[in-house]
Amino acid sequence: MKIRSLAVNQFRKFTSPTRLDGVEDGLNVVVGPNEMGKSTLLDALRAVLFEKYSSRAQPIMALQNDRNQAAPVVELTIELDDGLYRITKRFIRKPYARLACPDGRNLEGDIAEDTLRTLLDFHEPGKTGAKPETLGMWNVLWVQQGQSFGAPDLPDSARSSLHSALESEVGAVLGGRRGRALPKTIENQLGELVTSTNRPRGAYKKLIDRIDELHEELATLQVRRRDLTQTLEDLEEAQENLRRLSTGDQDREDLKELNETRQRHSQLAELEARIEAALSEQELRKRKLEQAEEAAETRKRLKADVETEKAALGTAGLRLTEAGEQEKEARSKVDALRGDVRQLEAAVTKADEAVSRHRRVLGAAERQARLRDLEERYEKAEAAENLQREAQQATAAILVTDEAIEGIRQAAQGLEIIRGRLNAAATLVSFDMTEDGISGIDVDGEPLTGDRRSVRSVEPVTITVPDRGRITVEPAVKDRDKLLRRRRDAETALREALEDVGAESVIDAEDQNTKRQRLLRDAELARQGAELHAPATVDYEAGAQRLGDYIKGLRQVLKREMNDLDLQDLPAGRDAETALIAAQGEADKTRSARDTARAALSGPEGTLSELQTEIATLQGRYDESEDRLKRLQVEVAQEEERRSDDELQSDIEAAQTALAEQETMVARLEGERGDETVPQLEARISRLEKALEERRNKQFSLKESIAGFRSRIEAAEGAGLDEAIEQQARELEFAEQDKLRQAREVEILSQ
Amino acid sequence: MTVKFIHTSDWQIGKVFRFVDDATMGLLQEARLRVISRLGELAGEYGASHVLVAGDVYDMEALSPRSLNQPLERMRNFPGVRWHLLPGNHDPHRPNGLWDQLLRKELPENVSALVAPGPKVLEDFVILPAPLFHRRTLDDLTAYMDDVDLPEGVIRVGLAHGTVKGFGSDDKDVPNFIAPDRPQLAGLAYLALGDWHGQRQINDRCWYSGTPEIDAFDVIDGGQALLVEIEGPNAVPAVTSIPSGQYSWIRRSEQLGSRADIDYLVEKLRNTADELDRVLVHLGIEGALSLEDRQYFQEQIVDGVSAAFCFMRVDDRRLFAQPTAEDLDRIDRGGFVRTAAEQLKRLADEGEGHGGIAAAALERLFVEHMKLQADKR
Repeated sequence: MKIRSLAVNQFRKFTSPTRLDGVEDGLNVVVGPNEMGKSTLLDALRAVLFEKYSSRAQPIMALQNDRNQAAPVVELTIELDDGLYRITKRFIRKPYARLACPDGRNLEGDIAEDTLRTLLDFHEPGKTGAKPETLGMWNVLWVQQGQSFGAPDLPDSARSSLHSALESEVGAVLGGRRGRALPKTIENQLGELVTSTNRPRGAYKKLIDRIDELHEELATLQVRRRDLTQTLEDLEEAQENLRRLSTGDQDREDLKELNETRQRHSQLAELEARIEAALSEQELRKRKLEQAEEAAETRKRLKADVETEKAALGTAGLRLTEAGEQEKEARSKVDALRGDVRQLEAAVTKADEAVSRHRRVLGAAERQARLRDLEERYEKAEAAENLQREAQQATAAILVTDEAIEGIRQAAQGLEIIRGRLNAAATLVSFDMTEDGISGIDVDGEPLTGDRRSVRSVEPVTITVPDRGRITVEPAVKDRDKLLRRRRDAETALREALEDVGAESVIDAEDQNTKRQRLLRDAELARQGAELHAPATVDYEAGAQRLGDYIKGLRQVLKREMNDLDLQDLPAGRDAETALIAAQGEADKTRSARDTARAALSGPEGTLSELQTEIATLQGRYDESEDRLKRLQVEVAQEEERRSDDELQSDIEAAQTALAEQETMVARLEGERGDETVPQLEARISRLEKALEERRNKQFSLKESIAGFRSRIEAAEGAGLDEAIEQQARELEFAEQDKLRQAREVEILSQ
Repeated sequence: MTVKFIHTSDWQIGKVFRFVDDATMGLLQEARLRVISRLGELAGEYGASHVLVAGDVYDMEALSPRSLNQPLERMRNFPGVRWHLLPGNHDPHRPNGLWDQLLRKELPENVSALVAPGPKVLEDFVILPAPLFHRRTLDDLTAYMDDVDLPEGVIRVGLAHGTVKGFGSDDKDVPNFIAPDRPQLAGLAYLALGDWHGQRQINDRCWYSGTPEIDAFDVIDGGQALLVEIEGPNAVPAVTSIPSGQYSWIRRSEQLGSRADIDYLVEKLRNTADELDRVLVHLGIEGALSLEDRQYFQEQIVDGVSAAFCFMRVDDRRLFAQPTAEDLDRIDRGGFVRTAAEQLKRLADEGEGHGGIAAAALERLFVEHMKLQADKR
């Protein structure tokens, strides 16, 4: 709390409004001379805060001015955490208290004072005004004039407040020490029981688990106990049942009934047997009557059969005759048609023969044409072959073969080369003289002429100048002799080569060679011509001779054919072909006529065949019918001889009488039957027997069950189930109590 | 000649005591067997040659062979005494039940099971047993006794298990009802009854012997048997109560308000009996104690004097801890621990819902705090 301003009026010595303002944070000092009213201001402060406005206590009355007795008014502004509060109080006369709060509320009277007390935490003053006790903590802080902090007289409440305040302010030190140890202890204890997430742990958890186990075990035991109880009950019931069954009352009753029923059953069975016998006798007699009636009936049927058969035989005879006539008619018709067909077939054969002859004539004509063609070709081929032979013979006369001419050419070339080289090495002697000058001069015996004014030589040259003598020029040529020898050799080689082929010169040789080449070509051309005219075919090989042979063969064939055909001349191919076509047309026409006639024949033939089959069938039937009739007539005669019709009738009447008698007897016996039937009695016997048997079985099975129950009970007895259950329940109860204690412990520690 | 026999009932062999610990239960079960020997000894002491057990020899039907045989072996040890056992509502004779089981295996020679109604003729008297065949029977099974013809002068002793008094308007609707005037109706010299665990005389000739060894806190006049002496068929029998049990079962309710009360109670409990280890106590406490005194109560009574007894059960559900200002100051004068304590106190005072828990928590806070203080010193 911070004081911000204080104002007084009519308060003791302050008879005019006086205000203390500008109180700031921190230390504020009010300074003034003695008796100025500093202490009075403190009294005003105390009064406005702690005294009741309505109080008439002596200290309040003392606040008045001694002289004017006016009502004292004090107004205090204080600042608390939430803002400024203004407290105004007027005492004694028309007293009031007002409290203006920072939130805008304006409180009056007791409410204002109550609020103030709550805000500042002091007690309501008693009738004698505010006392140190009611001021609480404020009294400690309030230092009266003439007192000091030395030994404050602390009331209990103040001591407590001080303690709390100090504790809260320095709690980190004071409370921390205890606070650390105590909660830790408790947390440790709690931690042994539950986890941080408050789930049971350790022994507590084990206990809970154990409780679950115990519950389960107990439940198991209780189930077993119930089983035991049930087994005991079952056993008791089984024993009771057995006891009831063992008395045999029911058995005796059932046996008695069984015997009676059996007796009744045997009586009834005997009656039934008699009825059965009578019924079978009745049946027998009925059958006899039936037999007699049957015999009469059979006789009647037999006679009827004879009549029927007779009628049938008559009908069959008529039908047979009729069919015979029809067949005859059909046969004559078929015979006429067959004659037609035969004629047509002969015509067809003739036409076919004509066609065949024309075809052969055509073949011969074609062969003749071919023969002519082949003959032409034979002549050409023979001419070509002759040409070829001539050319080949001419070729053989010329020796200059390709090989020989090549040798000659090489020899000539070799001579040319050596001559060139000699010429290059030769010495040239030139005569630069007039025509006249040179006349008479010869070189190696040959005179010089205008054209021949120089001599080239490697050998010594002798120039004879008339009148003057001779000049010999002897060229100095390296290897002259060798070169000369080689020229000689070359010349020899050429000469020999020419001689070998009989050629006079190289040119001659060349000519001869050319001629030979031409001849070879001619021969080849002739050969090709021959081959063209007489090539190889499937009938003969290539060559004129072969073709000639073939032609000869053909001629013979043709001749034979013409002989066969009895012809002197052959018609032209085209004529033969036309004739053949005409013949073929004729043949086709004839054939088609024949086919038509044949087709016309098939219908009547079928009819005839059918009629013949029918006749055969009818004949068979007729024969059979005849046989049958004979047999039947024999049979009727025999039967009648054996037993006449009248006798049969009297048999029937006797049987009817016997049957009527037996029926009367059966009716009488059936009348003797009672209400019960044999099956009913048998069912009752079976039921009673079964019941007896079942009881015996039941007894047996009950004994077995009892033994089973006993052994189960004995097994359970050994376990002492009740005891075990009690023990288990006790343990469970303990555990549950423990658990409750632990749970409470957890709750306590959690608090 | 005086007929003399011991009348007992409700041995409840095999009984399981749910609220005691295992060790104590062993003791209590053993005591139930031991009392059989004790009865045999008493028969010898008083010259009674018969012991009539009026039902509930066994506490339940399906017992382990050991539990079944244990009492038989005790009885076998007294060849001079003949023991007559009657099926009761806890061990009714059902077909193929425990009695058939026992009979199948043969009982000791001196032990007989009276599993069918009808006279059991002995040398000097006749027993008319009314065995139970079911846990609850709506017929009075002793009714047949009226019609049993026996020679004049024979002492007829009825043996039955059930209740002579119901709690509704018509007693006869009570299961296992027995007409209290059966001795008059059936000419019985004495009707030995079982079922009630406290000893009780119904009339001159009709008694409940009570259980020979007490088995619960609410049994009045238990732990005894009856010595019955009959001079003749018409004589009123002389019936003497003879103590047989070892253990006393005491129920106490106490008010506690201060430390002095606690001290006084300790004193009183210690002086309950000579042999405190033969005493079982059920202690119900009411009142309010400061946290400090509550702690003291725990130390002195719950942890302290209870150790002297065979067993002590403390029901302190009505004992409230009332934390005083001093208690709280002792916890702390301020700080959040004090705040927590005060909050707990407020919750405890409000008393709703978690009030009990809060009170307990406050106590716990106190205890833990004291422990810490002690550790510090």
